[in-house]
Amino acid sequence: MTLKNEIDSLTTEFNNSIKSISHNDIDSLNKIKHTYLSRKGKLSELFIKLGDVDQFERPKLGKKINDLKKSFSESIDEIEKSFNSNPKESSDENIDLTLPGDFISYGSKHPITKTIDEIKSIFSQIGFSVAYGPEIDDDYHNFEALNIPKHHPARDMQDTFYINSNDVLRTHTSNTQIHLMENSDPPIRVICPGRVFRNEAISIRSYCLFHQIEGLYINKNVSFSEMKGTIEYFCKKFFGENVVARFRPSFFPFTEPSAEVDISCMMCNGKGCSMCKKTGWLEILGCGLVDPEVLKNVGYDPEIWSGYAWGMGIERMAILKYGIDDIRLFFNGNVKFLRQF
Amino acid sequence: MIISIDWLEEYIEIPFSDDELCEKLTILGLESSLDKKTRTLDIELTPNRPDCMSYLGVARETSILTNKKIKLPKISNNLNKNKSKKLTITSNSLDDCPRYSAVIVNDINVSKSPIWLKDKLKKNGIQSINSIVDISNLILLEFGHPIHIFDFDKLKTKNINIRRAKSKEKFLTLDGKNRILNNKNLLICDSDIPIAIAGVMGGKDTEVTNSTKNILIECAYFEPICIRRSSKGLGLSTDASKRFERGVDFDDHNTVINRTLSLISDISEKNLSNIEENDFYPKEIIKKEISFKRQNVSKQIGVELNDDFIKKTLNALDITFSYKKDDFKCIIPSFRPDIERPIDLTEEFGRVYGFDKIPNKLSYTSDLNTIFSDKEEYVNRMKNYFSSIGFNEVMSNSLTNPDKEFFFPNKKFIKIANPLSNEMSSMRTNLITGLVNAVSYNIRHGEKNLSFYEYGTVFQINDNNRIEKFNFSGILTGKKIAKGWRQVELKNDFYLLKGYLANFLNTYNIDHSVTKSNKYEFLNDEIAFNKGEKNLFILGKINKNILEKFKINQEIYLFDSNLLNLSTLNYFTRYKNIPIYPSITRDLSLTVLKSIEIDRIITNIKELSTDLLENVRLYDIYEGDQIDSNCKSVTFELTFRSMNTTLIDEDVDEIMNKIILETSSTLNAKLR
Repeated sequence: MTLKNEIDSLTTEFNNSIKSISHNDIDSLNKIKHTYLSRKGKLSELFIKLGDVDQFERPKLGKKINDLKKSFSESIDEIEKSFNSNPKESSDENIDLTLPGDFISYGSKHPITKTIDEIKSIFSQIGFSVAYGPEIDDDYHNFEALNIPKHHPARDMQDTFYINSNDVLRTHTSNTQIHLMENSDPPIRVICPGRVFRNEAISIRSYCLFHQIEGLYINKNVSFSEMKGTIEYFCKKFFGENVVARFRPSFFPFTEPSAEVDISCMMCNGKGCSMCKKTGWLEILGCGLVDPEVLKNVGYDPEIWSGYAWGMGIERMAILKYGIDDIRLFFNGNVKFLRQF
Repeated sequence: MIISIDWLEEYIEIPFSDDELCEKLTILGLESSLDKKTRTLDIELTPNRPDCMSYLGVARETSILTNKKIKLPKISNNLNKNKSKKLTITSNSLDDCPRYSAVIVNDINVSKSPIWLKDKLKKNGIQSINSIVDISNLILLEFGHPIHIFDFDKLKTKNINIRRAKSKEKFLTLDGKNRILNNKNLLICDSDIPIAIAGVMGGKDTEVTNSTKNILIECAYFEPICIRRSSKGLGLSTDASKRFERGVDFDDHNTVINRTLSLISDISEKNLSNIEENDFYPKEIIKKEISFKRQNVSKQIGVELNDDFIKKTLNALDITFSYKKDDFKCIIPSFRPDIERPIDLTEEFGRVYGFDKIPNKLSYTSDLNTIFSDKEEYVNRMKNYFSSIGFNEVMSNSLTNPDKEFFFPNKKFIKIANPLSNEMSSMRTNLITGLVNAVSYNIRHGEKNLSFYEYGTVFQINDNNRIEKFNFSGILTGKKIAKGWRQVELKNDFYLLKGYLANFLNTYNIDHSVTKSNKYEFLNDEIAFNKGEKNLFILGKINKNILEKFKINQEIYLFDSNLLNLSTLNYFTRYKNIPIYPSITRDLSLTVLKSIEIDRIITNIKELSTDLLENVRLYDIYEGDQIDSNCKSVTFELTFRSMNTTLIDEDVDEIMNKIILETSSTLNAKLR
């Protein structure tokens, strides 16, 4: 190959490699620069070969190679410039990007608050308001109006703290529903969160107080089927779409029919583990159609109005959701516990 | 209720595995767990189902699942019974005991029970005593209808009289305990001598023993509430009382008695002769009649139930019925006291249909608005705010020990009549004690840097009225930020807390004043954030003397607020025009006596400026060698701005000169 041909082919070669460089690929560009323009580069080789060329041709070809060198370095410079078209401001060379940032400190909401907030948000999306009631209430609002007469075995279901013969620390938030219905006309759609009390010795599993959320929906022609839909919706939103809710008959004096709801254990997917005591199911709430006696007690005509109610323990929900193993942790203020939420 | 499946199979053919049976009964409403080894079900019964406190009751429920009839145990119906001449029955308490059936059996043998009987009782945790007592226990388990057997010869007058006990009347029960009775207890008497506390426990004096020859079998129906009161009053709950107080079958007396007699005859291998009976049943109890419309049941459940299903279910439940189109008339069997109204039948249809088969319908109706109260909104804001600046929310016990209330020792407590312990005998009157306890707990466990808040109900008495208030209180101690590689240490102290509270109010554009306060005895350095007359927050440092009682020896700051004062504020954010003219800032360094408070200087500056003064910011306080030792030098940055024109230096100079001149005379301030 004549030197002239070599010059032409090197030009083509260079142009092709320049074209193939992607934006900001500075490494490849440096490689090309080295390949063509360095002291032992391809252009230097051509200059050496120039010595073998006919002396009449030599000045002409020499100029050509010189032009080529200029053009190559111009091309490379141009690309290098385009690479740096948005140059960063020169930064402080001494910065250590791995040093920790400033500590601001962060707090936490109580897991009970977080759980209540989450439940409130789920139910508010389907139109439930929030109502509160007194923690000390009379026997009527805590029991009688809810169809739990004195001397009914159902009173054994809840151990009660008494203030005097007529006033109690509420054993459930259902008293809120009674106050609400006494003071407003149906339809009603509400959830009632709050603190409730049971006269039970304190242990890993029980505490003298806990929190509940109850729901109440009163309207015309409310059916068991709607109740099931609402509760299933909640279970899936709270525990995850894969969870299965099971309804089984139970008894509460203030609802009829009454049901207890289990969800498939999310630890073992219903196969049976220590959390669900090998049953595959976790009991989470009680529910039912509002008993006509309760409606009568608050002055609603059960021939016109019907509804459903449900109630669940927040600690139980939080225990299941966060895997907490001792109910007392909620109330002793241990900051090592609180910081985890 | 413990149910041995082997035994249950005597009454009903079970085509399921034990696991399936357990699951199906649970779904039907009898929450069961299975012990595979012993083949026993532990059924957790709800108080409305006394009928299932028996093998035959559980067999009936099982028959709903299998669609097969139950088999009754061996009952002799061809017994020769005569109306008793020896025994009379009278009652002073007809309402309490509408039916009392008694049978006298003569010339029996009391022996050891056969093994099969002992085994059956053992499975249900009952100890064998002798053949007669064991038979009565077997009947209890089989039918759920407790019977009592007396040694007839130990009755002196042979006149059964039913009456309420007299006040302080004494009675020795079977368990050897002397009971002191009152008017709540119903008694079965031999004329006037008590022989049993009706429905609860028999008496020692008429107990069946190995030498008993003649017996009196009692099968009665007692009013549930009467037995409940009697048993509760005595604190004596027995297998019998548990059943009577929930309601036993009032119509099975013949069957129960005949079954008892069959057992006695079989076990003693002897034909019984000379049986005398006396059924005291002055007024027949009428079985309940309930009418319902099929359509209503369908509506309540939310599924169209057809006639076939309705009829099949009623049959399975032993409910006799007639119907015309959609209207059904039912007669409820005597063993189901829980079915009283149409809605109770709806439950039966629902559970037999299967709650899980009822479709899930989620209906969104727009006829109701979602309402969140102001209080709700405020609580959320405060919790969000304090949690985001480093506080941990705590929840403490609402029940406290009034003897350990050091913060508000003079506030009246709402006391609990039946407390768990003295530690939890009253309702808390404030949240501060709980917070300090939480701090003390954590310090003891090695955590010294703490910021807590609690929101909750506190209970107080005002003019003999109980009130529930919603408080929001917080506490902090130790360090907020430890010294770091470039950060300086920041203490959890008074100024930090003051800043937190001011920031909160400013975030929500709540105009407020800050004043010194003297509301809480236990606080030093106390101030209040106010809106008009109302305190929004009280803040200060807790007195050392009190902290000693909690064994705390580090400084603790707290704030307290009543949510009502905060949530009822009518605040309203209004847009203000954004200034278009530039501002001028000047520094002002004054040297004043140390005793002069900053607030006084700022007030002076504000009063002396026109409304051109936009902001005063304190940015340095100096005390040291360069000034008199009783003085401090304070430096402010003053910002001036006009809304109408561009200020020039001369305008500001004039104000600055006035401030310097005036403060030098009123505060003896010197320009530095």
